Amino acid sequence: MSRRVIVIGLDSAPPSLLFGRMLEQMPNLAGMVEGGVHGPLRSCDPPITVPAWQVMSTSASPGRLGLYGFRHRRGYSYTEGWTPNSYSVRLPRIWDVLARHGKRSCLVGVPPGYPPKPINGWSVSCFLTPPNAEQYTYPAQLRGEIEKLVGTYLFDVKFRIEDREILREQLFEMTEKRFDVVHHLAATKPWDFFMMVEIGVDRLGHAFWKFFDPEHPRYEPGNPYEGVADEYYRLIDRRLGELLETLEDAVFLIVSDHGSKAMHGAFCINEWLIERGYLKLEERPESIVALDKAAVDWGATRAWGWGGYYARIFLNVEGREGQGVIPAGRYEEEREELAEELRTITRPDGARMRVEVFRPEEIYGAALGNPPDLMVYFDDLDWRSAGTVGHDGFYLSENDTGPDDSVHAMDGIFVLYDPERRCAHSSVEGAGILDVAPTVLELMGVPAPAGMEGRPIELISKEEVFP
Amino acid sequence: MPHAILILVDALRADHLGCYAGEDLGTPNMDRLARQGVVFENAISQGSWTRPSTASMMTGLYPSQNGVGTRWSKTSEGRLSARTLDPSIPTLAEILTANGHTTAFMGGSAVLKPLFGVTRGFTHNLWRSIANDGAVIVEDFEQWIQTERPESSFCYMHFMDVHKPLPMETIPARLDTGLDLDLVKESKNELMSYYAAAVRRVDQYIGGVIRALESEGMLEDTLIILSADHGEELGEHGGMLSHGRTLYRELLHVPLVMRLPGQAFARERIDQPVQLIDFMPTILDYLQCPPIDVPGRSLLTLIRGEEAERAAAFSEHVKPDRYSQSVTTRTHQLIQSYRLEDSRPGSPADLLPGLSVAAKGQRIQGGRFIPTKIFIQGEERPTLSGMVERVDTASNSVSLMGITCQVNEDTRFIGKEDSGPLTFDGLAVGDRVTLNFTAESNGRRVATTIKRKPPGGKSKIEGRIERVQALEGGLRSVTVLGMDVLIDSNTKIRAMKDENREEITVSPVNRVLTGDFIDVHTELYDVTSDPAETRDIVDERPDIAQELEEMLALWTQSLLGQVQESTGSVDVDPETMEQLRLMGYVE
Repeated sequence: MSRRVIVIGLDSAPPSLLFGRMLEQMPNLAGMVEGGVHGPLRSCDPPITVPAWQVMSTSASPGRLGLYGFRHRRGYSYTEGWTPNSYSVRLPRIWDVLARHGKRSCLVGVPPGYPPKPINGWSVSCFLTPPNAEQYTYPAQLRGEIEKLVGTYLFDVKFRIEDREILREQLFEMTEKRFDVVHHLAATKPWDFFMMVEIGVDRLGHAFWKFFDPEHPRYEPGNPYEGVADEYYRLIDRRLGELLETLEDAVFLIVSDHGSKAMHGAFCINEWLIERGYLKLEERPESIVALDKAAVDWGATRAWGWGGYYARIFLNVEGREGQGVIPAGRYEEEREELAEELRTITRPDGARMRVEVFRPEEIYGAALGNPPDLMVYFDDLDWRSAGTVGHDGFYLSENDTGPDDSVHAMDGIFVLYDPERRCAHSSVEGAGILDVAPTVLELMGVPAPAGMEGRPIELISKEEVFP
Repeated sequence: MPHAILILVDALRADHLGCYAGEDLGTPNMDRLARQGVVFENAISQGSWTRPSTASMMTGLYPSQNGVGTRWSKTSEGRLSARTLDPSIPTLAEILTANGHTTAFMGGSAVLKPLFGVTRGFTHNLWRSIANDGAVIVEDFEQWIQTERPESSFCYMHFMDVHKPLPMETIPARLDTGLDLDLVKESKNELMSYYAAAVRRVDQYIGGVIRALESEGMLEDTLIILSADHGEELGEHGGMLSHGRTLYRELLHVPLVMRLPGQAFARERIDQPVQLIDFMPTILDYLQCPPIDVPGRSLLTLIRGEEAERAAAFSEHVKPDRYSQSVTTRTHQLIQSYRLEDSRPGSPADLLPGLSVAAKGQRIQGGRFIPTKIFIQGEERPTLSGMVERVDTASNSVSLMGITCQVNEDTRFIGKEDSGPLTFDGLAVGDRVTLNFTAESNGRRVATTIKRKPPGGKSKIEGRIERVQALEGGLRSVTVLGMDVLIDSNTKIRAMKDENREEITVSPVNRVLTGDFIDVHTELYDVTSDPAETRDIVDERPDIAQELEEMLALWTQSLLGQVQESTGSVDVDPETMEQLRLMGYVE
């Protein structure tokens, strides 16, 4: 059996909101949950947008993809970095597998989707599209079609800004335009597979979490943005309803790449490494600066870290880094010592944090590209990592790179709904983003290539029903 | 009056010239040209064998665009047919001729025979079927300028001295080395010194061309371009003195020296990547012809410093079931190989334990077998074909190639018409037969048929691969019927033809762009620190890989709609076929 499948990606949408307080605002989604299969969808390590959507599309771990977040080190450089684009993924994605079977795909905003890579079908690039990009569609002439429809297309919003009013306006405009385009393409192109990602859901969380979630440490009751989230999710639901109406024959899969939750604060990893004697600055910066703008005494530095939703730690190894100090033979020992020490990190109140420390090659089997030496989650990601230096102490209540209210969580969501085969409200535990590609391929009657690490959600759900 | 000369040495590697190696390699004439001219450090051929690369040179177009990148195909009668350059594509010689210049082609390769169209448009086509001796080209050239005395001219000389065929005596030395790795190494050295000697010899002929120009007083009116159509494998990726299979740097990196009149820009070295498709616009530019709309660009603007940066050079290799693309920058090369069809296997790596194969060749001492060809079979048919070594009427057995088979009442004997029916009693040592047998569970082999063969010819063994061993020096051994069959990358490996396979007519460029392929393999090399391309760094340097992959994709998109598919084809005459065989291009 071969079906058309549409994947609707809601970046960062957490089960707590989508299956919780938002569900009653979202009648169309509620109907799909009622008549389909749904559950939490476990993200990858790290649960970050750029690797996660590709893990989902390829059913391969971040290590096999060589994607550990957004920014990566260029080789073993101290300061030079690179960021992935659509040409970073070298494993076959759902649409590559389908193309071999002559099936056509339509992609809107699946990161990293810029530059728009040739595809058997149509593609509109993602939130990583640079401003004023000349070509953001494949084929190139699709751009004209889009701009005739919505005028200037919006890829993303600047969300780490103070002015929430402008942000809110842009956020709604962007998402409306995205769904205008999605609806147009879904209705007019002869696609077999459709996948879209709405980045606005993530931006809403980062910019408005403290306004709508009473559990957030900085929540203020009665604030003017209390209703923004509800309003936004209603928008999503309205547009979902339109698609359901238009695409009567397609199987719907609603997914998020990871979850999100209130941010408790930021932990200054480099300040901590300085205090512990791993990192040495020639002089203390007068203001708060990024580490690569600070005068690091590399000859006396054994380790340094990067900020982000999780901390990436790099060791300064002789023969590997330009001014490496750790003898290659002591690498494992030093890495273990540092990991042990990281596990003793406490919250501001002195209580132990739940610190998870990973060695990339251990959690992935293969760690291609430029992996960090250690990956660290602070308190189940409640605390993000701050890479800047010049702070007094280790703890920040705000993000160091601009206002941010939320962090990422491991569990995202999925809802699998087939209008032609409605089933009774079944909930499935244990599905992960690795399972998405095999699920889609199975629905479309195309064998999954060897090497895909997940398995079809249908199978997982059957296991649940008949253990 | 302006003249331009293209001295092209088939299969000449850049690193065998003193001016590239930075030491004296016995190439004084080419080195002198380099001292008096501009040396391009990073000249990249568009194909790794003569047809696509010379067609690129003569048209300014990439192989996909000029349509002659594909191999030969066999007609039903076993004849070869080859694609010709489509008449709608203008050649360099045609345009120059139309603009009033005298144009001449000299020397040759069977691949450049006029019927293939690549040398279309020369006013004087002095192609010779056998031109392995460059001295002939020098003579032709001297005679031509003396008799024609062209006012303005372009002359393309294609030297074959460095190309195969090799002196026959080096080949048995290589094949009979068996498992003696010292001998393998020695024979490799022998081939390398053969190649180096050929390079030194061609240098003398190039000296002859320069002297001829000088004595006619033409040297300072002449733009001299010295280059090659592709390089040659010297063991880097398994092949010895071969080309046309891969897109590695030893095949794509060619010498390029341009001597301008008055030795302008002498001793300049340019390390930006340039391409053979740039020759056509360069020569048109120099001979003041109107520019033509091709992807190649004049090198004169680059030499004069009127152009900022040339970022990359592109190459292609087209086969019916595979398609490879390469992009070379100043520092790196990225190769993407697309598997278009579940292909007929064709490399030593395809020989895996359990597979049934037939090896044609010759048995040597120590139970070893040297094949010239290996066929991958659909089913197992244990067979020995060769000379009878022993007939034992007491135990009812016959031995071939050290293997003894029982004969029983079910064994079928098949004779030949002229020598009458064959019987067990009539079988004698020294007879040539083909013996099919079955192996019983106790290890006993029982002959099912024994068929007499005409005397002479190659031996053959057929059976399942029992074991595969990788040996040094690119050599590999697969064990069949207990015999070690020695394979190097020059051994022809073929699968039995699948008659049901449809001929694919869609261009590989379109297939790549629409994702219509089975898989793609990507390799990345740092050509400055690792010019022999021994270490694939695609997984280590994703940053560089993604940059180059994007360049390659944009380039592929630029080919869309320009792919040449309507090219006609011609039957290849038996004489040319034989020459192509000698050159190693066809079997």
